[in-house]
Amino acid sequence: MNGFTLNLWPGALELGAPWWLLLLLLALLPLWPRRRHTLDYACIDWLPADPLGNALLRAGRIAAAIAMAAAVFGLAGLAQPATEVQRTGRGAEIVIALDRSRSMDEALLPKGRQPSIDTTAEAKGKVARRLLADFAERRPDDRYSLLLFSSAPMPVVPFTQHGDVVQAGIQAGGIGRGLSETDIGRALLAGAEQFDRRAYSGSRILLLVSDGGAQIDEAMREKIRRALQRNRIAVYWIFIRSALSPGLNADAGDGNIPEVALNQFLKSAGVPYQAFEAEDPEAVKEAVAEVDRQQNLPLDYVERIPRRDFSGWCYALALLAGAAALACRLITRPAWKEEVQS
Amino acid sequence: MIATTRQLLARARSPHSRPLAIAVALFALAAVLPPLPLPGRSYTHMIVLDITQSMNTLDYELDGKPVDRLTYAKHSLGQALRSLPCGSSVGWGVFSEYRLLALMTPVEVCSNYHELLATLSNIDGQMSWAGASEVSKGLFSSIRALKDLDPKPSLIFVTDGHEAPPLHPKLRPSFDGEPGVVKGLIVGTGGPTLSPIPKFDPDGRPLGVWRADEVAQIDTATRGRAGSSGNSEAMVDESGNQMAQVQSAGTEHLSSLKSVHLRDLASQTGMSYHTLADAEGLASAMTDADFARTQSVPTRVGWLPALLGVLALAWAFRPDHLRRR
Repeated sequence: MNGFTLNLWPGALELGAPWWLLLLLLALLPLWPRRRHTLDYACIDWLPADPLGNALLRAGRIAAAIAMAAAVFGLAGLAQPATEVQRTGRGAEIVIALDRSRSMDEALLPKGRQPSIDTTAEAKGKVARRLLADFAERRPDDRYSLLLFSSAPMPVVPFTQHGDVVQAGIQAGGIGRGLSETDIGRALLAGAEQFDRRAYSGSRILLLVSDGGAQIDEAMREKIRRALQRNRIAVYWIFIRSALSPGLNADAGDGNIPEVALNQFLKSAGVPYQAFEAEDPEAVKEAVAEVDRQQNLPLDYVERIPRRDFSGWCYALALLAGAAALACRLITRPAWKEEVQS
Repeated sequence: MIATTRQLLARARSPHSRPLAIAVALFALAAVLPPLPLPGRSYTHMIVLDITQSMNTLDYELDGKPVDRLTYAKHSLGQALRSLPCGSSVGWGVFSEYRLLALMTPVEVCSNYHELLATLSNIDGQMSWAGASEVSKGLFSSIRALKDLDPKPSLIFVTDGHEAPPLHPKLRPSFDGEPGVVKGLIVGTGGPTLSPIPKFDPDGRPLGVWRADEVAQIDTATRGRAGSSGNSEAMVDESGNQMAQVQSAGTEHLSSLKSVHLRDLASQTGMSYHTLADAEGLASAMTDADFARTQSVPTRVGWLPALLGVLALAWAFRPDHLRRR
């Protein structure tokens, strides 16, 4: 990817290695006037004029010059640069807010089982990464933005359609342990604000992946609510239940269970909201199906057309022109002293 | 007038036409030759940036303006990425407190260049989750975290080496792994002289600079329990003797590049050391042959016959005075 690229026609043609063009000077050689067909003969006036031969000679030289020029353009790496084309499809813009707190390193236990040190159950973070990777793979046309959070939100990948980058961000969660604290309030706000000053194109989803709720103070709630409504964002929460957690739909009478409180708050936030419990293996399919149903507004997306290299075509043209030059030379009779016998 | 086949063949073999015929054959070869899998170099780097507060020290210059170490390092890295051959991959991580936080596992650099730059530009001090900056532990734990990845990346650790709290000269964290298990490069950032460290609140608003009484000036071993319980009980070593107390210079609120410390860390861990001066130097340090892995890369080879073809034509039409009479 290094080196200097010359744009011949912005967006349409470029040269990957323009210095080779210096060889174009060589292409002038066939056109150079020369004395090479002069004959050591005393008097040529009696020779008949040969317009056909002269024309063939000239055509052969021009063909040779074309062949050299074409090959030089091939050497210089004539190509159509990678371009981007705006298209409109169906899909959504999705901000993934992924919890990187230490509690995500604990095992995801089936409901009712006691936490124990010796456990074969999968860590919650691993479950979350698997589910997310699955989700992103099932909806490849969506545009994703990835936000990690612990005590502070950490925007990792701004909106992109490069699936491998999104997957790399998700997989990075598998390196090292989680961080010590969680602030879901700031994460929700940061996730919602990712859409600020962004043209509305396609449905907008904030996909929260976390194992616990949090008590969010009223001032923060108000900020989050306003940001969600302002940007018209639907919230989906993939909830990964901690051991001993009663789940999202426990009796929230006293509002002391953080995840229940968060669930209640998001329900009342005035935007479409749905929670999925991740221990259910169908949860992701369900979430994808839900997103499929709800969130398929026209999405402006950019299709990348990869760079097309034309050097092969240049060499083919060089081949044709070179063959023409050779043909011209073969059918004209050269200076007679060179053709020894016939 | 029409030449016979024998004549044509004879003409094609004549020195007069032979270069042309060779050129045509070479162009044909160039046009049909597919990309061949040739061994090429590629790199897999996990680039970890120190985002602790000392990295906010303004001791670099960019476009005539003073910039902080992190900004300069990000700028240089963005430039240096261009020098990695296609097929190489780069991932990002940040260091704070005493550990690495991976943000992205390595992805291919040519097709994801803009995404990599976008993530790089998102890295800043506000991501930091704690105030401490235990560089040695951070480096060692990064090596531990990376050594089990497949493919194993090389570690590019960008830091100024400023340890906070400071280290006791004898009681340093030691590297318990095998030196060289993860290859890599420590990139030292910062100037040679002590400079004040700007201070920010968690939302990134400036709060002046760190003052001498706001940071730990002595290491935790010398301080003993004085820090927590108020008594003056000091640490003892294995034989029960009191640990040497370290006199503090009282300059821990100022920061410079701790290159001696970083070189020492590099030799302990079997990594190399490079002082960040400019993007070109960083790029050549990052493309050291030691970090490269050889893999077969589809390589276009059509240029070789094409070039020979052009030269053959040039020979066929060489100026008269170069011609043997």
